[in-house]
Amino acid sequence: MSREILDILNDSRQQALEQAQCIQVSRELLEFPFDVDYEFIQRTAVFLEIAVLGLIPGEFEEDNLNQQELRLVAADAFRLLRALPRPNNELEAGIFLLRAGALAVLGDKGVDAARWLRENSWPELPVESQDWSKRTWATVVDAWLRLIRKNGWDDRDLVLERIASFREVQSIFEKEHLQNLDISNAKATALELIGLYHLAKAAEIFAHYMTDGVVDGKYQIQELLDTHFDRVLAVCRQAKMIQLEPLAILLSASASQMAENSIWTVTRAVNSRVSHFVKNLVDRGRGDKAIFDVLPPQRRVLAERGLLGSSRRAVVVSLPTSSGKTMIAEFRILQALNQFALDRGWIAYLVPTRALVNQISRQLRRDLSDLGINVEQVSPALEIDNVESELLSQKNPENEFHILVTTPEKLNLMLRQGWEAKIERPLTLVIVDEAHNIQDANRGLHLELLLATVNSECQHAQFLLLTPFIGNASEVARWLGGRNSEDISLAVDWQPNDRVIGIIQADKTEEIGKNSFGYRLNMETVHTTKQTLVVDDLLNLQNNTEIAPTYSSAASSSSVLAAIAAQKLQQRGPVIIMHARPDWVWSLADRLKIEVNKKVPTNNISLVQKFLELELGHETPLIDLLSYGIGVHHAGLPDEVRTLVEWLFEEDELNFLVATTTIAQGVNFPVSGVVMASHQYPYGKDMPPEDFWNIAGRISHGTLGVVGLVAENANKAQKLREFIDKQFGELNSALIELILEAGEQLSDLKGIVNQKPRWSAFVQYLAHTYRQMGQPEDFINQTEQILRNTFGFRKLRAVDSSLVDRFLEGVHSYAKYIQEPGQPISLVDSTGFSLESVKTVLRESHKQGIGANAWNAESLFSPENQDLQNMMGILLDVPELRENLKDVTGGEGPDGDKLSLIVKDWVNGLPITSIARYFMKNGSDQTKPVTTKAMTKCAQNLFGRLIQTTAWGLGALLSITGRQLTEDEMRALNNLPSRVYYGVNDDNAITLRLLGVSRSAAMKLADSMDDVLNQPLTDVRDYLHNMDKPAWQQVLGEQEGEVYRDVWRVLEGLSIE
Amino acid sequence: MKAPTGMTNQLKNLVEDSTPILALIRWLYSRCKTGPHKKSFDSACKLFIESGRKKVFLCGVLVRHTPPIEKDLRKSGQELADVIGPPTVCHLFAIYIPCMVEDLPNRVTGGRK
Repeated sequence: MSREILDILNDSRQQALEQAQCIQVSRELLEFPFDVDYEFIQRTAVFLEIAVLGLIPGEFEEDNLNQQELRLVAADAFRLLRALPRPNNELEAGIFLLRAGALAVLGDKGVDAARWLRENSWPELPVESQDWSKRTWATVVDAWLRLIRKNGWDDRDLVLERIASFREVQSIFEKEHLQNLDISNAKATALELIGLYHLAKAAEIFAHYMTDGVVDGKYQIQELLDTHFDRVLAVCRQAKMIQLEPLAILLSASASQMAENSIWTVTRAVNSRVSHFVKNLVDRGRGDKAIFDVLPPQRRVLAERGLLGSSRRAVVVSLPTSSGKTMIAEFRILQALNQFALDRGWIAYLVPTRALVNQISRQLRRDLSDLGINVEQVSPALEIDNVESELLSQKNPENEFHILVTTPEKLNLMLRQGWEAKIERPLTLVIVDEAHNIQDANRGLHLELLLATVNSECQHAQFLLLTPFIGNASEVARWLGGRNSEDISLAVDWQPNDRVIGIIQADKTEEIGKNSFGYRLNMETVHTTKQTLVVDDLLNLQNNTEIAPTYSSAASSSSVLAAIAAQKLQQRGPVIIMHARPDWVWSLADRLKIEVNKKVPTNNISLVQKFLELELGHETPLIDLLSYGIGVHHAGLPDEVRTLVEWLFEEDELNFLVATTTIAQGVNFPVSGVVMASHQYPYGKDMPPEDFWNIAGRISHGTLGVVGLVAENANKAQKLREFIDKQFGELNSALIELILEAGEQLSDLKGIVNQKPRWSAFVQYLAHTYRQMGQPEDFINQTEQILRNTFGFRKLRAVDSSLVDRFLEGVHSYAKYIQEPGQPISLVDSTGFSLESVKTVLRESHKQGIGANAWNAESLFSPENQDLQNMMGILLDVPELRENLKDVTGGEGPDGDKLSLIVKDWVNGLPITSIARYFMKNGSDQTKPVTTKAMTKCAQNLFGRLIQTTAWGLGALLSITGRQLTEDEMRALNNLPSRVYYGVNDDNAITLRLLGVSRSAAMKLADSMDDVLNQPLTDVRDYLHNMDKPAWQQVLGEQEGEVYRDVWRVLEGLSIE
Repeated sequence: MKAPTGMTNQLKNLVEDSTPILALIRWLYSRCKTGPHKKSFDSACKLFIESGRKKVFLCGVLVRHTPPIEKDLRKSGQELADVIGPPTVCHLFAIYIPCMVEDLPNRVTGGRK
């Protein structure tokens, strides 16, 4: 019957959904409603609801197709009901919302329903009514609505409280009520009351289960719920209960689904670590952040696809963005820790960016530290300094790390330097976040080769790769795990809310002066492959005369259009606005500085403003922008400032976050809209579709997420349509791309790095494998097998088999080359340079007279020392470093002198404002103020390129030229690269920097914490946690002490009270 | 019968607002999804949907405790003819009973509660 109804409904269902979309979009974005036929939507919704009732499986029925159909139909029914006006009568409105909510749960739209009910709560129901029947209905409806909404512990507490007080007065009201009933409906009313009592009892059971995972000593909740729902339905068979019977059937099915979604059900009996973790997640102390349910994709991965019970060695979880992949990873971590508890195994969590290293470390620490799990991060700088060395070598079980968060490049070097053996505990799980980066042209190869190395060399290593949806997850899983692999992909996109994606253009309206016209912004919604909403009409986003008074000023640039659109969209909640370059980001942010956005700074805003004043000077434009609720985020800002801006945004302190498009690779923000002034990365390269959908997927705030791309003209609009339409498909290997573009050079892998530095990772992989295999004589014969460990090579044959032969020839001749006697192969592993680059450094350092004696920790960074200048000159010849360093000098040719001066100023603690003068014309003229442009360029170069590249280069140079140094001497110099990375000239301060203390504060604090800083890192962190405000103030002064302490706590994810 | 809850108004409301009919269909579904009524129920739903809720048979029953009055139904019929047209069908019945309407349930049940 359900299928027949669905067949008959087919066209109406589509039409009704289209109308419902119009209603939703107009409610959210426009001031006026569309003209729609509500009765038609209601009728269609009811028949879909009937179809749902028919699709609900019986107790022992299991039909996956049916189940899938049920979810789709229920979700559509919810979408339709949500679009309808709510009934005027409170109780009728409550019942209507409950039907919609129950359908949402069945349609895996429970998150939407919860948000819908939070944003527009139901009217106050007559839970105190003198009419017992009404009061009973009200109590039951209110309880179940709260169980669907689950607003932290408050809703759950109120359910229990109200049902308890309802029961208290039952004896007083019920008798009188029954006595006064009209004989014509006395029996039906009495039966209805019995049914409702059972619904109340079922609600009570569920409320207990949701927080405790157990009810009256019973862990299997389904039977308890069934007992009561069966009784309700039995009662309904005795009399005509038009309202109660269909509602009870619906509620019974959705309660069963809610039980399935419960975090307790999904994680039951996995292991004790998991149970403790779940207890923490639902803990009352987490307030409204307590987690009672898993999201549908999490349920499918953890329970239905059995990840928690899986012994698969390689699992690829391919889910859409915002599906809660991090929590899936946390459960897998607990499972792996448990599995290898005897060996005290550790886990590597790999993320693509420095910002994510910090963010993920904070999140894992917050979620897992109560379970005694130590989460540490190592800096993305490519060397292990003494602090990290101590952290990694820690043998005390209380202080040893369990999870290490870092970048693929760093782990790659760690493993090649034999750190798994030095740690003396096995690497048991490698989690790769944003694993689709494996196809990234610049960094993908590192990741691919790292995974190949881990797979071949780490005996116990398992893999969990997390990616947004890709087509060939199983292929990737098989590459790593062979038969012992699994991919878990969701074919149907799940999203936490609905999305609309559109192109925004200015439209000329009436003449308002001589040759000037008014305008309005129109948004054209675009069809996509991702179930985004579409309305036929253009959406009028109006104009903003404060930002642009006339059509010509509005349509003049994408920045202006983006500012106007953002100003309109932020009325619904925070908005991210993106542009391609930092300087454009500043000017776009400036356009939003209009009177209406001005607000009184809160304590959090003031804190960041004070910090900016201390670190970047009072003229920093961001200080003023923050007073307008505008944050700025790009590579031209120091890391700490970016993290603080992210924090303000997460804390709802900002209405706008203006950022470069590179934020696509990043952090999760609760935004309701994204406006893209550009869809390109710097240098005019289109953002890949994966990144675009990653951004669209992160819009998790509010009922409707809006992505608007602005177009100055019709031509650009057409380009944007094509851009949105681009598909992302299979995950590919960066190695294939490298081989395809190598051309004739494929036969000369020895010389290729000089021309194409991206090849360095590959030739290093060959050299490392050769060394790892004990430098066998028949290495050439084994190369094909070694190449098979990579993902790319496996796929290459399918692309072009003649290319494979040429590639193999090149590899064979490179293999011969590295086998030549006297090759410094071991330096490849210790430096992260190709063999050719190592030899270049050896040659050049010999020429420049840089040997072991040039390394002096006391004098290397002093102004009069010339060695650093010579060293930078050598590093400028290394292909792997060259491009980054040249960019810093502004393309003016190699300039080791300028680079060394910047590095020295940085290490010696000079403020950014001083260093920025290197990036200004006539910067040495102290009378000229430092411009924003210079500050941006300085930070962009310093943080984006110079410090990381120089730290790596110096570390490598030390390995190459300092081979004659004793172990103690080497140890004394080991921290030099980290001094560059962190910008401090004191070994103790490095520890504090690794723990997130700001650079200016770290130097001063280090002096006063001599004895503490000798202790293990976990103890130093505890010490800082417990250090009160006066202690900071004593060292840093009253204001600075307070600001730096609060900022450190924010960066550490702690409260600042 | 001009009261808002009177038969004529009830029928008019059913024409204008299908909520009560939809509630009835929803309730009937679980009783008709199997068994002898399934076929009739299915074809009724089909007609209802395909006709845009127009193909409905409405039945009005007037119960009064007076002697029969012919114009009761005529007047209602004339009024309803203005709002109800094909394919909707409406039949009106009147039952005139020799006791008070309020007593009817008691008489029907033979005094059983």
